[in-house]
Amino acid sequence: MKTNYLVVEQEVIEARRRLNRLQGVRLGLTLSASLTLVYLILFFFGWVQLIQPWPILILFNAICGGLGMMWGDRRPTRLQHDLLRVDRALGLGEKLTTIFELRRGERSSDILEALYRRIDQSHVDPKEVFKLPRTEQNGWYALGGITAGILLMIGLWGNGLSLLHIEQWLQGLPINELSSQQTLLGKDALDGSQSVLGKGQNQSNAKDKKSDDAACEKQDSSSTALSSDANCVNGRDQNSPTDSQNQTAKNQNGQNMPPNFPQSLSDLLQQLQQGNISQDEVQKDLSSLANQLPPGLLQDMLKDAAKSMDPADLAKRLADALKEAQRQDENQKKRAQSNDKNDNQPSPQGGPGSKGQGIPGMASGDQLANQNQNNSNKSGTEAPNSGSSSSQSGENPDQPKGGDQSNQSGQAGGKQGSSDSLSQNGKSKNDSPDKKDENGKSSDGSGTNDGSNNSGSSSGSPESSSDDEGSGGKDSSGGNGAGDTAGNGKDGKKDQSLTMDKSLLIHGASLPQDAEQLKRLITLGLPVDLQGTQADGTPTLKLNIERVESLLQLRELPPNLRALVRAYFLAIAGEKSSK
Amino acid sequence: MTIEMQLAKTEEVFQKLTRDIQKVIVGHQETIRGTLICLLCGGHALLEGVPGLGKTLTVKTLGKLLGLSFSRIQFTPDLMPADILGTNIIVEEGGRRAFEFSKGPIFAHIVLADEINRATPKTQSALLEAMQERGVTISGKTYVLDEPFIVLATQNPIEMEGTYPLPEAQVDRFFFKIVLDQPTQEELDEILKRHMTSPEVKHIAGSAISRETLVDAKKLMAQIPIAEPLRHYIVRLVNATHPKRDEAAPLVKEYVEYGASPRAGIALLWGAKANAFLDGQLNVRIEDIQRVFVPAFRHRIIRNFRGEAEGIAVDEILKQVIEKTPEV
Repeated sequence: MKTNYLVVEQEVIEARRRLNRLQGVRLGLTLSASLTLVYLILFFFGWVQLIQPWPILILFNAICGGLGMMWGDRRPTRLQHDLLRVDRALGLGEKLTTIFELRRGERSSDILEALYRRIDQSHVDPKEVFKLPRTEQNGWYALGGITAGILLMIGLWGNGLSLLHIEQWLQGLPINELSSQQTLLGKDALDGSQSVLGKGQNQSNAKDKKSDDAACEKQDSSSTALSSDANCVNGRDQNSPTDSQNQTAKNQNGQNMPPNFPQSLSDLLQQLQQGNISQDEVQKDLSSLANQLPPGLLQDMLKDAAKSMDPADLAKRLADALKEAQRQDENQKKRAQSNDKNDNQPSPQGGPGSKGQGIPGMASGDQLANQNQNNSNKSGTEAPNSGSSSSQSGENPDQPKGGDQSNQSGQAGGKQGSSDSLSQNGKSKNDSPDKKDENGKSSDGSGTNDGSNNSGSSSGSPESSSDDEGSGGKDSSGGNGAGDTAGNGKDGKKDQSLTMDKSLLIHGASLPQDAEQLKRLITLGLPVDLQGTQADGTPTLKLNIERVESLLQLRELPPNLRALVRAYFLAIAGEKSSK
Repeated sequence: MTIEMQLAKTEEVFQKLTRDIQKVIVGHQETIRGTLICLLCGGHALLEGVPGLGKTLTVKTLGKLLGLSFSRIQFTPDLMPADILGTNIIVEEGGRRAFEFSKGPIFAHIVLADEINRATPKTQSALLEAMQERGVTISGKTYVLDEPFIVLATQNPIEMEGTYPLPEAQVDRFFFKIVLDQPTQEELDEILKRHMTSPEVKHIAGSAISRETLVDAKKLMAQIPIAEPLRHYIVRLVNATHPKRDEAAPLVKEYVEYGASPRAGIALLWGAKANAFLDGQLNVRIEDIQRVFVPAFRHRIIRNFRGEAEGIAVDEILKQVIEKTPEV
């Protein structure tokens, strides 16, 4: 007799097997997720190493789920039991179960035929019966959430991020967010990070520093591109792509900003403000002006301005670019002047006039840097900031050590906070004739610290302060004092921009030794690039402070915050690599 | 005629019978149904209830409507077995004297044993033997009782003085123990309305179902199949009434001395079949088993001293047994 019972029976079998597979997958994923979670907990506490590549954990979970599904599919089924379940669930009065019983007897009967007819009149859908109950569904959701959480943990923690790295990642937030939090790390954390770097740099070899100084001296004197293996501050590694972003004035190939370029920008801005020129024409002119420039910050600013569709934003960007151009132009001129002076002034001391001419009463940035360098030289250690200052000194043929100048700057200045000193040092560095950076003038209104990589880093950091202690009692905060006025703009000069390349030397046993891993985690928020590794495996990172500076310029920030950010980057910028 | 048609026809007959009974008896639907189930299964029923609930009237009405011979035995302490079974009497025929068996009231299709717990154990055992053997042996000669044969015994639960409670072994021979409850307010009002004109109840004349119909119905009911999982369910229920079993219900472990016998399982199985038959079903359902479980088991559970002292009702124990026993 033709009946739907056979179809129903088959559907019951399939539904049961499907449910078994689901339950098998759940069992497999539960086990694998539990093991993965335990493994991650052990890894978090450092008891085991993270398996590489870490997506193997995902594969492991997938395999366990697949094995569970296979196990569930192969589980024996009890058809009559399942039929009874369907009968009870759908209110069929145990007809399916009875039919199965009668069919098993392999004999036909009137009752069996009658039961077939009654089943055919009923709508039987076994899928409604063999589905996961609400509690199991909730379990699936929980399991999915746990698995997703585990995978998220793997993605976040798989690279061995620590609290420091999280802070660095947070630093990658837009500056406006940073400003809303004031400073993310805070001064204390800033000091702490500086101390970490300082410890590492204290381990550097003074002899290596001297050799680097010599190399830097050669580079400075020849005004040619630095050798690639030199980790000189202000040096340009032409192999590094970040060098392309250096300002034109620093380009040692002699590509400078075209003359009267700021005037051209000023005229263009004036026309735009007066409405004598359309926005499209301004954008075209900006593009054409940008093409006249060598790759660098100013070119980028002009290109960004050219892309702006908002007239107000375009005007603002053009104004910022004008400021930058004026600053670079001023630096260019000063450099030319200082080069002439250095040729005529061999004294290493280099009083205030030789270095920071900026603010009266303030020690120049070079002075402060030299002071730090001198202190570090005396102490036989190389502080990170002093390293930068020493590299600055190295750049100055007249001041191979730079320590004297640092001493002088330390004497000249009073006590000051680190951030202020950075800004001041940057400012004073602008006055340094041997500067190769594109430090703009502090009065150009750019409000940035230039050249602060040299003296700023040296004098602004507590490390440099500590190093200064060995410099003959000079208070390194003297440089800070000098910088104070600069930072605060008491003398009316604005902060100088961060324009110099710095070599950020990372030391410390707590940091991963894997260069690639280090690069990943550090570049999460900081404008640094992995430059290579030392012979001892110490990774060397290059901090492109100009990229930081561009961010600072493009956003509305409180002056103090801007100075603090500059000071931070200067502080963490090392002078030389050490072995 | 297909079996479905037969079932439908039989179902209609019994529904008419029920309606006719309810013309005389107000309420007692479960009593009537239980009695019919016992009738279909060939089992005997023990009706328990306080006086005046209509136990005798129910049995009399059933007997009349079924068109079967009906006899009533009023059990008293001085009742003798011969009063129930019959006895040999001396008769004189053709100048010769001989013994002739005179059948007792038990030789009827439906026997109402009223207040069976008032008779002596000797008399009770005579009746119970006839119930079990379906025959009477007098002076070495066995007289078979006609089918269908059903004994509907009644007992009063409140009068214990001067009574002889049935032994458990003999109570176990009853198929069902049906407890008559007090009528509801609506039922009592209906009863009073029916007695407005006369204190006596008018009996219905005629029979609603013939003997042949009843015999055919019994044969048809026997064909009702029961699936194996349901049989296993019955087994689980029986085991759940034994306090020493792991699957015993908590109240069973606490208040039961002895659980149900295999005879209880048989009664449950056939009672479920009869219930499905009366509902016009082609197969036994779990609902059928659960519906007849209590009347089939309530007289087969022996409480322990604590259960009797605390007065825990057997019905309450059986209710928990059903709740705790898994259906699948």
